[in-house]
Amino acid sequence: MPIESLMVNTFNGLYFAALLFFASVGLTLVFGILNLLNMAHAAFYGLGAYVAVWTLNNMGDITTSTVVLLAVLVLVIPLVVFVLSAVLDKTVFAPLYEIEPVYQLLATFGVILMLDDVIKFIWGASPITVDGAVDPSRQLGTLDLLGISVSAYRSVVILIAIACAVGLYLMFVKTKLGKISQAMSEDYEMVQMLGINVNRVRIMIFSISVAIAALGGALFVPFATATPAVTLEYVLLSFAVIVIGGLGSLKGVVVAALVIGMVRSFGIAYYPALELAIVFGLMAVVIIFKPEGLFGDEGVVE
Amino acid sequence: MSTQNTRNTASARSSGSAEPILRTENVRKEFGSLVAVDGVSLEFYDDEIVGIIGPNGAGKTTFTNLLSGALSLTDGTIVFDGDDISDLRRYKRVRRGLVRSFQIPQIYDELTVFENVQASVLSRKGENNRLFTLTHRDSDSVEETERLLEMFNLEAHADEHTEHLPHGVRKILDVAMSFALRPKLMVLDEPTSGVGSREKNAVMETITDAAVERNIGLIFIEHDMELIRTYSDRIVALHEGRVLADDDPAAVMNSEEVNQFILEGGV
Amino acid sequence: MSTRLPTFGDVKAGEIKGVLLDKRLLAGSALFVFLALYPALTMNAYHTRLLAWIMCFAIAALGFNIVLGYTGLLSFGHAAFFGAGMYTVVIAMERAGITDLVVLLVLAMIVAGVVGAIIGALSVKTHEIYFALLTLALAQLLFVLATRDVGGLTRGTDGIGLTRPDFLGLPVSEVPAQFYLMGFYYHVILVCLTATILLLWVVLRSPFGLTLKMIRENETRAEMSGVPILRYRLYSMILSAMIVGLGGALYAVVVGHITPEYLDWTMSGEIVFMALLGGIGTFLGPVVGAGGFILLQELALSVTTYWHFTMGLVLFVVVLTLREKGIWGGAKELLERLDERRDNS
Repeated sequence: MPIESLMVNTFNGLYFAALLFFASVGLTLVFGILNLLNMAHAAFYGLGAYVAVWTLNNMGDITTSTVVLLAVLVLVIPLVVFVLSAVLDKTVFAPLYEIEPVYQLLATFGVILMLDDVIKFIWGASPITVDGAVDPSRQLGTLDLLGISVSAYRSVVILIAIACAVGLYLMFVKTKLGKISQAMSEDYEMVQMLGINVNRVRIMIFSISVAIAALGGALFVPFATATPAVTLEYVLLSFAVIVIGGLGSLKGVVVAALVIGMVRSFGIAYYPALELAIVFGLMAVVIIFKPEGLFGDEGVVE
Repeated sequence: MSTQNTRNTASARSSGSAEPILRTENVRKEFGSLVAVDGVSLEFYDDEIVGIIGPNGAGKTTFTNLLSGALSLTDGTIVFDGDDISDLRRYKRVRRGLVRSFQIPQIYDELTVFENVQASVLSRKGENNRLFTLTHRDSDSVEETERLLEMFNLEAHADEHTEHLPHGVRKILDVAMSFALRPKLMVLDEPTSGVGSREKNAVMETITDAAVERNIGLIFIEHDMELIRTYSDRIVALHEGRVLADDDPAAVMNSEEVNQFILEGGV
Repeated sequence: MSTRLPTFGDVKAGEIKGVLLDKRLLAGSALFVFLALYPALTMNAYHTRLLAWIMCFAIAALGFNIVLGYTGLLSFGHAAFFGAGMYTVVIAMERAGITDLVVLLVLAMIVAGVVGAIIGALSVKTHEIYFALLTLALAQLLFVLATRDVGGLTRGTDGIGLTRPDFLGLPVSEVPAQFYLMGFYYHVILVCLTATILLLWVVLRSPFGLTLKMIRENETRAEMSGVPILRYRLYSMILSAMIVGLGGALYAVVVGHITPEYLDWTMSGEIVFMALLGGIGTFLGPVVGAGGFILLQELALSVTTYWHFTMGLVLFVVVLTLREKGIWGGAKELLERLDERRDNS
């Protein structure tokens, strides 16, 4: 295996891992802290992708500045989705916290179906892509990294994912919100009895989680098309990630996203037929032999 | 009353005559660095009622969980009915006749009282895999279930779903389901917990009468010293995972150590 | 005191029981006759096709509900069994040259049963969402293998078309397509559905069925009654897989072209949806649910392109309001209440 292709595949693996991290981290946090298994989580990744394509393409008339475009992807879209999800949490998701996980899965499956049509209603059923002129990945071009030429945009995405992971970690260990959340992941009722406004924490955690998924979707589209299939694909991939990492574990999501990212990257390069089979195989093996996942019995952070 | 269970009911219930039905040898259970049961060696006979007492954390519940197989032994041996069952799977211990009931009644909430008991009857008969008989037409198990309901005064509730039953009735149902398994030895974890103080005696009467009638050995954990004194043929006192005393009720109750560690400590 | 066994002395109980049984039997028989004559009476090919479609999925949903409704395990991998049934039929016809419908159906049930035994053996130790996620992963593994045509059996995403099977040596496949469905195949499906209903009605009321309910209601107690619970969960999966496989096999001939999408997790989701819509806590709920799902879908499709939204909303509302009762259980409850009110007044 030539060293160069090894490095290219590793880089691509990191990029996949970054996207998987965005798509999955909220899913595992919402489950770990709020006890909600939200199958529709990945639908917000898909939503982010659509919103991003639409926004970028409409911004072409105003500006094509890379910095502005990136700022829109990284700040504006997650913020908009954050507000939207706070509303959804108060309405659609509120009753779901009270029911059994099995019914949560089914009800949120219904939410996927609904969001799927909302997307089709707004943007149509055919795939949409970012115009070349407002595509930050083209604008940024490539850069030289240890002798290989890689996409500068992808490097930025990887850095944002790292920043996001570090940011979440700091939030859990440093802030009051983070500490309460951790306590909730261990004993929800106890925290409730302490007189803490659990609902406010719930909305914050839920909205942050969903906003990160939307951020991932937004960052993903310059390299791909937004289609309704994105949601369905990422539902499964994000479940694979959080199961392998261990439900509810931040560290688990990071490690599992890296594992699956690498499996996909090297799989596509060397065993294209089996790349996804390896992912699901791995997921099955983990549930059979280590159902708590790699880090599932350790709490949110540790 | 049923005819098949009249044997030996009149004979004196005395211990020490035959082989013990259950024998534990140096049974030990550790949770990490904590030793919950620390080398317990005891013998139980199928014609006696043994009360187990001890303060919280003495290892009573752990000990019963070791007997039933809910927990695995760290060390030691459990011999039941002549065979080493230390590594036997839970359901197989039940099939051999070592049955436990639960502190919090373990019953099937969406089923009726009748179905709850019939389920146990059918399981004991090993008929779980019969596919083409309707349960309510299966006269053998239906009759046996009716007898059991009668024995435990549950006929009035037969067709009720169990979720709305009063707690005392749920307790009795739990015990009836265990009796349906025709155990040789039954381990009861606080059979009267959660039962109103006036009903406690009635519950214990029902259980001990049934045990005597069917020649079933009983081991029961209890915090109520009055009940222990009244219904035990023998008392085992546990303290910090060890056997503190194992003798007839009067002797145990008068033992200095028992008084010091258990009775005065408040249970 | 209640006597459970109808004896000669207790005429009253026996009488009431008999009437009740008769009522249900009568209604069932009438429905069977009506459905059997429907294609000939109306000559409506569209309706016949729709009914055939519904009945195939009714079988699948009934089979699925053995695991969810009776054993209390949510499987998100039943597409594997449905797809296994479908692929068995096409592959057996194409590769092995088997053209007899009865042989094909039996074969499909066996293959689906084997797939069920494998997935079951791997997953029965897990609980709740872990069971759902594991069955999902294993079924999805099969889906990926079928899409990528690993083993060269499935022809990937192109899928395989199939010809019409014969029946017990009769060359029924030679009749025109419309007659094949309306005059023959539709009735095969109807008979299979009826047989499934009768079989499961008995089996789920047998000691075996009670054992599954014991496991659903209280696993600890079941084990402490001497039931090897893992083994019975596995039996439940195998039986369920065989019946779902039968539904898939029958459906394969209705659609005539098999692609891996029938193995995809969204297919599992649809089967779960149907059972839940009708009511997983009732015996006939899944049949009602299959009908309701497909009719609703057809209806929604005919007025709007956004039928996913409609279906999603229905699923959401059913989960939150009717829960395990579904529309069938809900309707039954409503009727009972009306009855009570009439009795009171």
